[in-house]
Amino acid sequence: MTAHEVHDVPINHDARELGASASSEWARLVTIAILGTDRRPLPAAEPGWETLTAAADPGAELLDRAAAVATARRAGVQPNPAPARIEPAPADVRPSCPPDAASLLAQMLRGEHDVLLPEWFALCELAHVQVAPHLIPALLLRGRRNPAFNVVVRRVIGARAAWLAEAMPELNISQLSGPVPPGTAAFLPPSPPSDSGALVTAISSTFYDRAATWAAAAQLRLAVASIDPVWLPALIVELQRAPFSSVTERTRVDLLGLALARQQLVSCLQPAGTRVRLEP
Amino acid sequence: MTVRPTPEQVLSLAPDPGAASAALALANPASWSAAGCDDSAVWGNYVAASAEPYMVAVDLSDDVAGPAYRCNCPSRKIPCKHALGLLLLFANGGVMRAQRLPFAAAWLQRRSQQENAAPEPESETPAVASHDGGASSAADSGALGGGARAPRPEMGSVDPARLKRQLERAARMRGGLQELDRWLADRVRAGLAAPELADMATWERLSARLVDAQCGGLANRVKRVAVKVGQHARWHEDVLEELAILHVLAVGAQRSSNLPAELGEGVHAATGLTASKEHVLEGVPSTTRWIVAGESRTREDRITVQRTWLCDTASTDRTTWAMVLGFGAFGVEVTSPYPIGCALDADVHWYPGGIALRAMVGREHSAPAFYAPGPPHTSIAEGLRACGWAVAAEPWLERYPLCVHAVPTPVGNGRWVVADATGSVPIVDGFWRMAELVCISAGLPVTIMGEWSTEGFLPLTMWADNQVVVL
Repeated sequence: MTAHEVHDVPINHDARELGASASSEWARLVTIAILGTDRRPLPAAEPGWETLTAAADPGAELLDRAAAVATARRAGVQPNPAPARIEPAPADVRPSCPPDAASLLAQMLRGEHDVLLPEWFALCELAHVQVAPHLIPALLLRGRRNPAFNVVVRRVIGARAAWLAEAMPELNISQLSGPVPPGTAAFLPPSPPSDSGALVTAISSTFYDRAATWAAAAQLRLAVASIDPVWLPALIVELQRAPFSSVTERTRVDLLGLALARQQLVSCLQPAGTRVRLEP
Repeated sequence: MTVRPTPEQVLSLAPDPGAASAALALANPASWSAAGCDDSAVWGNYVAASAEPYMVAVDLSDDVAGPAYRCNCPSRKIPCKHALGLLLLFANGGVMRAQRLPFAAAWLQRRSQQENAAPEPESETPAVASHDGGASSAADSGALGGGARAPRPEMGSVDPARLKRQLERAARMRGGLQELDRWLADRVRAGLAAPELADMATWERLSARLVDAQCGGLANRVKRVAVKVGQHARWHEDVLEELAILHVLAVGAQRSSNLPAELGEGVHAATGLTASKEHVLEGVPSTTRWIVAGESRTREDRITVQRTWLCDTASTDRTTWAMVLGFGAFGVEVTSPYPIGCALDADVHWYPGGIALRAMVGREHSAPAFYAPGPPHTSIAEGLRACGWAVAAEPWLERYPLCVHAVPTPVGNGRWVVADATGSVPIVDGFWRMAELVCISAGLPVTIMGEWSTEGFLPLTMWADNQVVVL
């Protein structure tokens, strides 16, 4: 007999009374178990909770009876009364962000290519899409210790941020972290250089000069994040065919990954109709 | 009645003087447990310094050929010092008449069968109860159930070495179960407030003993109970519940041959005797479209246990769940068999047990593909009722799948429940993706799949806006 087939067994009319007595029987058994049957003899069971055969050992007898009551209590699990609903979040009319963009953001929040974070938010705002809701808590928590980031992130997230802060005061994200202290860098994508083509050549030449060591990687990453996106395919080709050298290989792989991620980001969050093609 | 030998006669049986002197040291009632004798045999467990007792038996029925010995110690001397020590104890009058221990009964029965079979080869093996289970589990269950239910001979003959292994395992488990049950009764007699309960070493010892007795399932369970001691102000209730359930398993496993077949199989699975893969794959599968609804992992003593929950997409009235277990150890990481949120057509084979839950995927008829609608969900009341029925069928069940369409709702103090029109169920303490769950729901009902346990509901996966989010 499986669990489901028992559904049709008619329910004993005494079940309700039995249910009430389960609590008192359980309370008695717990009290005796805490003290021990050596100190406190086991009284007779309440009606309905007698064991079929008495065990010789008082300890085993108590366990027999406790097992029956415990099983009855577990199996008789009931839903608690539903508490008052929370006010739903204001509806967000923006379309949800493309899954690729969400997974890129999740990647950046893990620390991979996070130099692109400002650009992600700038593009998200331009494209007028929602931030993936499952990433919002992580963003708001990150914003607690980064005021410049917080301002931008809350603006892009919209009303859901304030709603979450109110619904979950335990997250401690309710306070805006005040004005951005003067002197902190604004959370903005790096401004593109006047000649992105020259920057691509400069980046690739560091590999021929074997100057693109891991120590230089941070600066190169910033350069990759700043070039005009139309130059990204050219940069990717340059990075793919850069010569191998043990001192630059790590930087090359890292920059290539960054350039590919940025291209993916630009293509999935680019508002339709604004794509510019490079003149031949 | 066999005449009791004198100590001198016993010592004359020793293969060498070393064994004789060793045996003298062992003829001490303190080193024997459950020693007993009847008209034709002596048996007992030698409680050595090692974790597992040696199971010793001597057959005295054959007056012509002399006694026959059986001991599972590694010594190659016949008789070994344990058999001699037991005989010496017997000769000194230190062994009482008793019921045969299962291993001794099985061994003696086999001996008498061999004797009978010698002159009359076509005689049927007696005391063979029919059992519908498969090869290894059936043999194990029969032996564990008290020795009366011997395994069904395959093709008319039983591989003696295999039978011996199975009987030995059954006897080891039986020893472990008896010890567990004694230990449980002792705890309740001494009281849960006794200081040794709060000492982790008490539990570690018991768990180690159960591992030696090859009751792996119980050993892990004991460790999980140990964590509950002192967890909160009302921990005594939790621990008493768990001790009572352990008691049910220990008693049930010793009497599994008297239980209905499916319940017996469930008891075996919970104690650590699982059916073999081949046996499971022989069963009739459920072939339908299954959705991979969720995945949870727990660590159990250097092993990662992964539960993948599959759910039948075709069912209309009630949901069929299947749990596929995966195990990972250090160096062999557990991997997800299928991406969560996908559906595939496949054969699902069930492990035996009181409720069909644990399963194995056999043949796959289609590649997994994303399935946007998500698993069928029930109301909270209905889902909990299914959990209740499952617990009633197998009280030792620790978790059961639950898929609801409900709103995460706060109840104050940072505690949350999921609620729908029929009621609410609390979310387990320590669920760390609560903020994500709340933020995705935005205060509206979402489909959430998770595991129900006595501690509450652990959300695993949720579906919203045609997207699946793994929590």
